[in-house]
Amino acid sequence: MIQINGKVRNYILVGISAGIIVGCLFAVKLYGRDTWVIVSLTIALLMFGSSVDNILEHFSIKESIEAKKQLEIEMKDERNSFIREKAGSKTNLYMLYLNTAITLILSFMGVELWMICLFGFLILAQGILSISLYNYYDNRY
Amino acid sequence: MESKLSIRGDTSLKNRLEMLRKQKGIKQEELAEALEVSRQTIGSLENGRYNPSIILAFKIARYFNTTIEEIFIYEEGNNDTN
Repeated sequence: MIQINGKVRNYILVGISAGIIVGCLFAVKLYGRDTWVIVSLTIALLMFGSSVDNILEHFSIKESIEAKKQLEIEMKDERNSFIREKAGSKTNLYMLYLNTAITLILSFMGVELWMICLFGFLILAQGILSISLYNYYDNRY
Repeated sequence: MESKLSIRGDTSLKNRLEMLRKQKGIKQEELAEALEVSRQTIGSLENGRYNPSIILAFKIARYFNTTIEEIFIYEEGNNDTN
């Protein structure tokens, strides 16, 4: 079996996903916005984004052992973990405000009710998830 | 030379990390490497901007062959909000 390293695999995935994206765009012109075209396009875009992200990560990480060791230290560093958690928590809070603001704006714009309900559900889901995770970690630690 | 970090406004945590490091004649980078943390963490600890975890506090104490209490000083009833 042929062994492909991560870097090459990412380049192959970028190529394949780019091909699928172009194919889907042609398919949209030919068949319209069929469900299978939209689903394929979404999967291809996700694959493309993820592969490009991995390639950029490869470029940003130097291959030397010292750099890898330093990166490992930076990742494990407790202050960095604390900063990541704090940034994530603040992001979550601001996203809640943003979602609420968008929902309000949409409701004033006369958007269909199901769309407002969808955004409302997102806010509700965020709240439920937050409480559930709080309880989970409260029991765990 | 003591760095001070306010925990809740009426309590604070001082540390003598910078003094101990300088006494030992090592750089922040060297201490960071020995403790397996980033240099920025050492800088923040010395400036009193960051409180270490209990594990890191033990690591620091062991590195300097001393106790946690000798490095970190917890103070209560201080109204100075730094």
